[in-house]
Amino acid sequence: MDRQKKRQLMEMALSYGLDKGAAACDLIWQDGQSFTLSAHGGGIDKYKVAGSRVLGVRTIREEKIGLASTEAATEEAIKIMVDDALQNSAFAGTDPLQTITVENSDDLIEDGEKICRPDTTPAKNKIDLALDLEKKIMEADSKVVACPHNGYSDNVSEHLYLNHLGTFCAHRERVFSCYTSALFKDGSHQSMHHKSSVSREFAGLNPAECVEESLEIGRGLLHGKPVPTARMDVIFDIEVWQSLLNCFLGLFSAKTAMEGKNSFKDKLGETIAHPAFSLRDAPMYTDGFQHISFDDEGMKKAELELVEGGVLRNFLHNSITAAFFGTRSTAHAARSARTPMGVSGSQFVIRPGEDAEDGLKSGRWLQVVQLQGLHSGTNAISGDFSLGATGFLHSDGARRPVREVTVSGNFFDLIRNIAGIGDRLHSSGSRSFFSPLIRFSDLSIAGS
Amino acid sequence: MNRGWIVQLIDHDAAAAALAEGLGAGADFVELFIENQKVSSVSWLDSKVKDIKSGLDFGVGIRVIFGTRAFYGYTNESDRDELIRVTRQLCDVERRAGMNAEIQSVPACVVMTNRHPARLGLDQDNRVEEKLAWMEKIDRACRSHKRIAQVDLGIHQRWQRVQIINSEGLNAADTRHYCRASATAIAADGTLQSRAFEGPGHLGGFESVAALSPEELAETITKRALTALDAEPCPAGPMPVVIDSGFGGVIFHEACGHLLETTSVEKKASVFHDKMDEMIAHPAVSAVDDGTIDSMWGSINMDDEGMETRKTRLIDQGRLCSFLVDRVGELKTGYSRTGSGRRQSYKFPPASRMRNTFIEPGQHSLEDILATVDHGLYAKAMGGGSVSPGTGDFNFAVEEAYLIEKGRVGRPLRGATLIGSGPDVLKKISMVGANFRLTPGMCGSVSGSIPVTVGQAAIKVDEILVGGQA
Repeated sequence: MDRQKKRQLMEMALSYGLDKGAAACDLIWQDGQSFTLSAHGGGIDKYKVAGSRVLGVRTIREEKIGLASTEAATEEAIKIMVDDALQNSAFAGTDPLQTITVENSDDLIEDGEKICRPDTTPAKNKIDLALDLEKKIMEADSKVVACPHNGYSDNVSEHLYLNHLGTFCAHRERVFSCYTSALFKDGSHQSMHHKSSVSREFAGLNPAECVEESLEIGRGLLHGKPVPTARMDVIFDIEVWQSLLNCFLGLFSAKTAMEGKNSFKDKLGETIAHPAFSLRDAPMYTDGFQHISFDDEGMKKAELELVEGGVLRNFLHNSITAAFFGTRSTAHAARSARTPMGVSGSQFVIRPGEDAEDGLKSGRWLQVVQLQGLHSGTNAISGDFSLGATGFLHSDGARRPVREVTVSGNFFDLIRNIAGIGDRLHSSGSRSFFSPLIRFSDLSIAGS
Repeated sequence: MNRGWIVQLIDHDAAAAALAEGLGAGADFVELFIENQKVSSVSWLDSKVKDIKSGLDFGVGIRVIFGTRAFYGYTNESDRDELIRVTRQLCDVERRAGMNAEIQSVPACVVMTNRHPARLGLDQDNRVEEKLAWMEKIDRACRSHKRIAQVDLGIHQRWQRVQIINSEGLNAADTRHYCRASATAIAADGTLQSRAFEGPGHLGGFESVAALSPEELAETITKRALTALDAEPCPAGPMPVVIDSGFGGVIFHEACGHLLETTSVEKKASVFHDKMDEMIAHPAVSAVDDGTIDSMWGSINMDDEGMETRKTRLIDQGRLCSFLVDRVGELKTGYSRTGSGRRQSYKFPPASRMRNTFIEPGQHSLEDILATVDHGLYAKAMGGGSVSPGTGDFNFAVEEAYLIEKGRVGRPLRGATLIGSGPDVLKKISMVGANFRLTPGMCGSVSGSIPVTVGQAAIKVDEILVGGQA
């Protein structure tokens, strides 16, 4: 279905909703086609082609919100969806803060070659890439016993927004990715590591790096042992640091502040981190893979400083939280076709410091390359975390593998007690997070 | 009026054409999984309604298998041309020349007997007002304690109808009603905050949640949140741990259950892949995965490959006696299917997954078990966890923990985490209690997020590494 047809269906839904008594109405359309495959044992293991779509409506009537969605795109299904939303709103409490007010004069269409290049790569080339990844892993070392996670995927997706004031936004993008892993075994010792690569074009993928890192880290961890329980400095690898930070990004959300779940709620203008720590959201950075130039209220996005020199400067706002706190939306409204309005950032960037990486890696410190239990071992309210960790203990240039330890601490202390920030920016494998290496002081490591 | 079902599950002629397309391309097996689902969610925050939302999902998943290789696709359209297009695209990878399709029609649909009937499913009225009244009682009861700062509640219901048609002549349909409540209390005192969660749920309609006492549920989460608020940091290091009943079973689910799924076994990514009939656990441990328990959250009538569910004994007095096997797992490992092929929705190919998985109860009382520990940890309520299938390494958070001192439960602790390896811990479970209980949860894996139940009686693990404060 082309974009014009989708827009016509969305406009029909809007008209129907307004006719049925909605005072305001907006819609989100999400669809996509994806191709995913994995290789195992020298052949194709999983192969998946998918087409999906969902349309979601938000209605406002008498200051009450109604939400509903449908995966069927017939006129009948869409009208039932709107009816359901209006019925749901009848039971809702009034929500005077929630309004639909963004009125752009021009459509905002984002589908250029920078983010959505045509793809004519034959399926055979994609299959060969996945097979070759596994072959290189399995042939590299006699101690590699399996390559459990290994494959390729590409995805083209479209995200549309339309409201009753005529604001229409469209974002279409294509992403390619590949990944592999190496499972090592030597006697009773086992270890595994995986690495992925993303690109806007097939030729831009870096399978060699995936193979190299999976082997290097997996091999290095094979004879890992717990270290004696102690406190020590820690540097998280970029992927791990992104995962840990993600668990606490709710602290920068005005929505959690509004709901009383945010310990930073009353800290605007206060020092919450080390003076060298600065964090911003950069949605307009087009080389990032979470780039999008409008939010889910149709508002144009812009860069936002969250922490500057250790001082909390801003929260991420949508129009609801902005109204609650008496400020302006920062264009961070986030809503899928199925979910209610929330707040979300897009591409987080931590400003590089002044420490050379060699200096940062001196003395005794723990390099954490894997964390386990992130979804259960962190508490975004108290800031406490206690997580299984795997990595390398470095001591004056020598390193030894470490497994079966926990790293624990408190996020509020973590970002205050920084021993050094590297002078070079690294990108996560998903290219959605950018940070220098950071050496955190004196974390609790529980081992033998 | 039953307006949820606006789309026929499938036209049988279209289904037959897709099967014929796959077989004609040389596939050994072709399967259609048709899903039509209605969902409803009512949530409560700040002592008022937060959101009420609903949705209709419809899609067709198509799987073709050549030898042991499975290829999967899905679409929101169910017309003949679309089903043939997707099937053809899947078969292009392994197309074999000169094959003839033999499917002219599909047999009449067999509707599975629903052993878990729902009185108040989403095929009936949604009862939003009753749900809101139930949640308001919890909110009021929680907030009667002055240090409870926030109460976050929800009731989530879905009505899933599936039909599975395959090239072996299967045409089976099933209906599943699910209803689950979520209740979180947040306690605050100055800058300190803590939270506690309970999520009771059943394979059934709203009647299962409505039957629960809102006051008792409020008391449970309030007490736990307040206990955690006053708790001291947990000491770190290896020590004996007593894990209490119910959600304590998550340790077996994560650390051992996932390693018994052929999804891991077939790739030799499980440490148990070559351990059939060997002692993998302490003789005190017997464990099962049972999809047949009445109205239990992880129960099913048939799995998502159309096989009737059953009870599968996994470990018998320490000895490994079965894996959890789906169709592809059977093809790749030779072990017979166990009715364990499950998936979140039509968007996922099925994989071997758990249902209601638990360690069977033993003889000891909780007091007897605690009395054997001089210094250790009592994990009264577990949080979530995760495991690496390759190594069996796991990590669990403990939501409510106490120090055990000289055989007695002592002061509450916060920030406790259990870390270790599944195979190692199985051998260190030296005592199993009698206070058996099952608890629902959602399990995420290769075929999506599915309802499962974990459970056990209290167990004693002689030594686990506890993460806390060094």
